[in-house]
Amino acid sequence: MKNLPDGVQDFLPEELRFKHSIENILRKTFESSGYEEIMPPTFEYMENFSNTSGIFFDENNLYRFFDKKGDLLALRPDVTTQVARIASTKYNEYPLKFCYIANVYRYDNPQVGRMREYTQAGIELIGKNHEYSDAECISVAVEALKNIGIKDFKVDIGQAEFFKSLLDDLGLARNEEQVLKELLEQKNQSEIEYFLKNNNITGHNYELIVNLPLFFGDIEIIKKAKDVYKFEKANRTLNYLERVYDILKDFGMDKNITFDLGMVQSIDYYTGLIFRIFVKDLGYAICAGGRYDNLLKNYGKDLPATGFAISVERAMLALQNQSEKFTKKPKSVAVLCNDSSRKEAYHIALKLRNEGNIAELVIKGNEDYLKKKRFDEIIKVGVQDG
Amino acid sequence: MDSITVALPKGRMADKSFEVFASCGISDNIQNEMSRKLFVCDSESNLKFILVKPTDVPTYVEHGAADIGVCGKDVLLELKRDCYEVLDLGFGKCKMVVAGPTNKKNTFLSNKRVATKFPSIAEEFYKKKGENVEIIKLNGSVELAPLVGLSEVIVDIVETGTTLRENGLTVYEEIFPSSARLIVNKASMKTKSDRIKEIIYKLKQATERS
Repeated sequence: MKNLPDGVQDFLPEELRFKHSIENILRKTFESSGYEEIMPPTFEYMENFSNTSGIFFDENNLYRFFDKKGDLLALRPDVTTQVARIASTKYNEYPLKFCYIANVYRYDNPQVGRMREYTQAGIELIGKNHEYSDAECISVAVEALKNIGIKDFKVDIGQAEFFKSLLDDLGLARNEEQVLKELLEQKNQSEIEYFLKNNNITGHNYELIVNLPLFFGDIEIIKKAKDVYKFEKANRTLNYLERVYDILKDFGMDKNITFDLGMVQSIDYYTGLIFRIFVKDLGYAICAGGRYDNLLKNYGKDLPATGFAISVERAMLALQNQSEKFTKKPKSVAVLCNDSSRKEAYHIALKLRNEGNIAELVIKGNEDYLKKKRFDEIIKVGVQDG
Repeated sequence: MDSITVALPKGRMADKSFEVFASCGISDNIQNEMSRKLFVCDSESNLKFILVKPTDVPTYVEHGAADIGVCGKDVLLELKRDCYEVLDLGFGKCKMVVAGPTNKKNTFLSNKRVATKFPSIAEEFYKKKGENVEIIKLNGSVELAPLVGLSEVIVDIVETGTTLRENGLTVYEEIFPSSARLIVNKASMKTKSDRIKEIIYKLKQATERS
């Protein structure tokens, strides 16, 4: 077989160099913000990716297989669940700050920038539940994207609890709640109207839900929402978002912040502030994250946590769209020598390498290779011309 | 002002689409110009229009090649593209139905052949019913299939039912009603939110008036 299966790709030198340069900047940004890199295994028991009420991910989207003992394993669909497991089972003192750059595996329909194997670069802040930790998390994401050279992006902030708090009063059955959630995710105003009418939801509750898809935009939208959603739970979440915004404003990021109260996340473990980052003229989010205060309970410790993951391939696409010249290849030098000059030539090559150049030893008689490789410079050691 | 690219479907819904977009202040001659070109910029409203096959509209919008688009609910349900579906524009009304020969209603075994242009809608519909059928994907003239013995029934879109009647077919079951929807790219909604909100608002008013 000479072909690749759907959803995977080879990275050849030029593309890989581009990818690595992005990953290096992301890693440096995370580490200099106090997040230490860890690397969980590529696969583990499938039950580690689920909780008592079921799996966090669509089971059909997981790569599952048996080992020789008959245990059911899965390739990781994300790293966050693994970091939660590590933080709960291997540490006792909190808060913890971790970062990772790792490939994840999801059996989705392959798209540009979203293959079945793709790279996530992210951070997790575990053990703190405060507006400062949410703001810190967002600010690291913003700095990371700025550092790799992405311009013109928006951090879109939502609240997983907000919609849930509205549901309490409606008295809908569980599966109907799911339908409404999906309509909201599509911002499907017309269908939401039909849905509410069909379920005999009228008056005040009707107004609260039907306008939710339009509550997105800059900070003004939170103020507007406060006038509409006056009950206590909603007010608490709105005030919280405002406080996070105030912190980010002092960090100089208010221009990048928008809000969307109708945002819902498809991964099931999110509990509080959630966010996605969109780049102008790229059709999809390049970063997603948020608070997941109930996930660690699953592994034995009841701790709050927040984090995000940047999709590295999508960041590459965004940079390509903004035609950012990115890859700087170091200068390449050929050190041409013969049997008697190889000792001296090798030392010259070593010196060049230490100075940050690419240096290759080429033995006389391989002039074809010399031509093909197009070196920036050729140094001849003990070799006559011709 | 951000420029917004709008993908409109060729064919039966094109005229109606332009009509509702008139409320966004596009110039009068834009529709004429559109009949000759695939791509038109309207400097007055700063809207760009592209005219594409109806089934391609969600594809353009999902990838952000168009910020917004007009597309039938039938196509959206068939393709399941990841974009916001914000408004029911109220025109292009039709129904997705199961149809077959008038004289053979209710006489088929549940294991049958179904010809359709909408294979995933048909598959999901029969899966929910718990019937195992063979789906035969066709690209047009679906009504022909039961007449020549390619399939027992068809799953197709029906506006008035005339074509069905002319071919001796009748509606067995309705699957869902369909109409034109306004769809929006998820990133555009956030990165060009002021402009897009304004368009949604105007189109909503225009549909409610008509």
